[in-house]
Amino acid sequence: MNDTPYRKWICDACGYIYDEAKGDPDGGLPPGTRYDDMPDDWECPLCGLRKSDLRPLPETPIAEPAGGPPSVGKDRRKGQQRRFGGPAHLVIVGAGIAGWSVAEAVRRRDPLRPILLVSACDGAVYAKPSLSTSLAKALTPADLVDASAETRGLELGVETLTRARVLKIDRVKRRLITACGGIGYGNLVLALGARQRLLPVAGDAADEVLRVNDLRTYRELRSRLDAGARHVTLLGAGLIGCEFADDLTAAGHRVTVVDPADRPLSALLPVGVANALRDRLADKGVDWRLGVTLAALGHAEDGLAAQLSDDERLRTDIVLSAAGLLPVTEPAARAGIAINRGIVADRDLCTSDPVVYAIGDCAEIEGTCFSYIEPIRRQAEAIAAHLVGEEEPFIPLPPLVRIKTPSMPMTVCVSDPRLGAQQNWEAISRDVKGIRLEQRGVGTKPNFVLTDDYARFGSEMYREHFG
Amino acid sequence: MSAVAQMSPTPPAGTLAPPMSASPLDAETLVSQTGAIVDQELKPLTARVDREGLYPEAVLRSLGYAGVYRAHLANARTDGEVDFPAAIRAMATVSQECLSTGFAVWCQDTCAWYLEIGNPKARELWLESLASGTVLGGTGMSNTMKAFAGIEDLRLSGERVEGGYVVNGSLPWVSNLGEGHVFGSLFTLSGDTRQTVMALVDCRSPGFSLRQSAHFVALEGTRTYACIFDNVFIPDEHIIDDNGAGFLERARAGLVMLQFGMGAGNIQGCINVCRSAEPMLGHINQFLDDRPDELQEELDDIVDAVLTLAETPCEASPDFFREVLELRLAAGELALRASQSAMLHTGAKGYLSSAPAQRKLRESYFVAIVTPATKHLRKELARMHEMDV
Repeated sequence: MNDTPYRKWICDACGYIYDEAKGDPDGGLPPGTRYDDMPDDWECPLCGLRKSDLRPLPETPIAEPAGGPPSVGKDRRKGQQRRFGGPAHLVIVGAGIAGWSVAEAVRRRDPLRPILLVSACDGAVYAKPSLSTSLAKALTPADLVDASAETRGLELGVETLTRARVLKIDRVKRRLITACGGIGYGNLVLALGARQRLLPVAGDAADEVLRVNDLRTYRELRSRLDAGARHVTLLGAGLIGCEFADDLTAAGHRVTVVDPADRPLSALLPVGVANALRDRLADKGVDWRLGVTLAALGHAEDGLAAQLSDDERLRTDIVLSAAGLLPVTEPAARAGIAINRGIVADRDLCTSDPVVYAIGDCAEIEGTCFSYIEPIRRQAEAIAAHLVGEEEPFIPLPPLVRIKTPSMPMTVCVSDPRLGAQQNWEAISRDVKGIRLEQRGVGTKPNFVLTDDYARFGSEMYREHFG
Repeated sequence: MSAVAQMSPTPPAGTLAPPMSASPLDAETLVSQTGAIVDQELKPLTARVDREGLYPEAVLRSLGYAGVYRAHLANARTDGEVDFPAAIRAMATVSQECLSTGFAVWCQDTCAWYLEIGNPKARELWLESLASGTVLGGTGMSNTMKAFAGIEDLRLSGERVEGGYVVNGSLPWVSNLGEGHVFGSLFTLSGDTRQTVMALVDCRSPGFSLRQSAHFVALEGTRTYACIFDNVFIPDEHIIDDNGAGFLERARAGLVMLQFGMGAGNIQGCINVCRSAEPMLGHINQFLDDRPDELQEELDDIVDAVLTLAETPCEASPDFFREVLELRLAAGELALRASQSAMLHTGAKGYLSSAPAQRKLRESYFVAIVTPATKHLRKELARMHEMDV
């Protein structure tokens, strides 16, 4: 006689419990048949698996992971709503400065209109220009966030739907399609922003090139930087590239800048000013590789191996691309809304669909994409005014460009920032306080380049002329 | 009621001439031809498939001949295109009538998808046979997906031998199997999920056997078996990918996206049942929740989103897969609401054992519990959300 208590076994595929006390009479095993006495060809009556698939039934249930299930995610998923907005709604797509500016401007003029702001990201409110100037100020990515989408939404009386990428705009039904559900709209604002241009790079580490264009990608950069001093290769000596170069060196990282032009900010700045900036940053340790591109990037034993187009090779830890911005237009283009370089909009920011507006980096007004901060608030006001039937169109003006390189801060105003270098500049001052160049006598709107101490007079001069 | 299916050898695959349907049809024609096969061949069998567990083999062969299984397979199309939306819509047309058959179509589509994105050798040997429906196949990946989500352990393990692997273990409930069928599955080399291999298993292999034990409340006509591996030799030319984890990452979005053919079909079928009751019962049904127009709007939103994502099935970003999972969860939840609504809208008529409403009710649970199941999806989405925050 076997005195050991009867045991229970569980089929780990289907959960069938074999109780030795009860046996499996239908399968030919009388009550009291021990596991050891079961034939090897026994089949689980539920799923057909074998004796060898049985294991002792645990005395206690399988423990939940430490701390239980993640509450935020779980709550978010339960009984989730999947229909949003409606025919009375103003729906804003994008939670960058442009998207939030529209929400604020419309709310000021119309306290009651239902507004829903939709974003693919977490919708946090932050100043994007700070991304390339935070290291020197010892700010963490979290420090840059003014408010969460939920908080700012509550303040403004605006509904928010985050982590919802717009997959399709159905203009007939006036409906946006996302993986989180459908969103009805009466009016739509596209504040889709711009994406970093992708450079063609060969090699098995080409995917390692970082493109920082939002808080999420910036966090990724910081997580790699904050581990210790690094060598960073910057692709592009434009506005963002130069700001990053200055900020990274200030934080103790070594920086190489690669650009096909022969000087930084080659389109915007006059040659002498550009060369002065190059020298100033070189003094801080920036290693300039001008007139070349990154041909290939490979994995190396202790980091990355970059091969430049002149066959020079260098070892680096991080490659950061800052090669210019391209307006995001796909959802609009697929919906049949007119696009050119950006989404084509008039001075009321109306697109070719009169209930759809475009604003900010994704919009193109009279042939120009205004990829700077200053015009955005005026564009937002124009949309808000148009929505409530008022006349306050956006006036395209030469943008005021601030180059936030503490080694040589600059403020530049040129009618076409792509042609600044080609203008005939007149030197007004060139002294210890910096450089002040102007171009007078062309209409009534002077262009100017101000560096160092003069840079802070930029806003004043701009207001004088443009109000 | 167990039965061990002993397999007899049949001619090897890959030696069959491609059928007439090798030239791809445009999506509209494919969907309408699928509709014709459903009307003429499947409809007369639907009740028997459900109640008697009849396997609709002739219908599956006809669908293969029409080109249903090759829409999403660039390597099985003369034009080299990939049309996931067409594959999903054709499967939905079948599933709207009968989810057993729709599920068998999914098994076939998915098995072929594994070969499409796997090693060229296995693809050359098997893809055309699966794309044409001359060989029928399944997918034993439920255990794999759950294992990679940390829900259970991998059940198959293999050992490297000359010219291939010897595999042991067992898989419960793999569907669309039988004599001469094949299926894709993944086994581990070291007993953990770090070293895994993806392979095509031939049901005729010595040491391999199928057992049927369980009976389900629906989806009975799907030839669902337990698979027993007793020193089964898998030759190198049947290896789909030596890196199982990498393979699953590439395959998973396509695999889950194809499932929308089942979900969308079941939900549309339920909505149609609700609508069919309107002429007589609309005056009283208006007091119910989840009216057909509301369900239709939600279904259209899901389908629109899925068909947009399905245009780029190989997109590898985590955000893309999160969107696929969000929608997959939504389809399962909407299927349950839609079938519930079909019952309430039809009333006693839907409660008859011959009524489509009660069959669709049972089928809808399959949409919500087939891997990835509702709870599995919520767990995975919660994990992704945590990582994001």
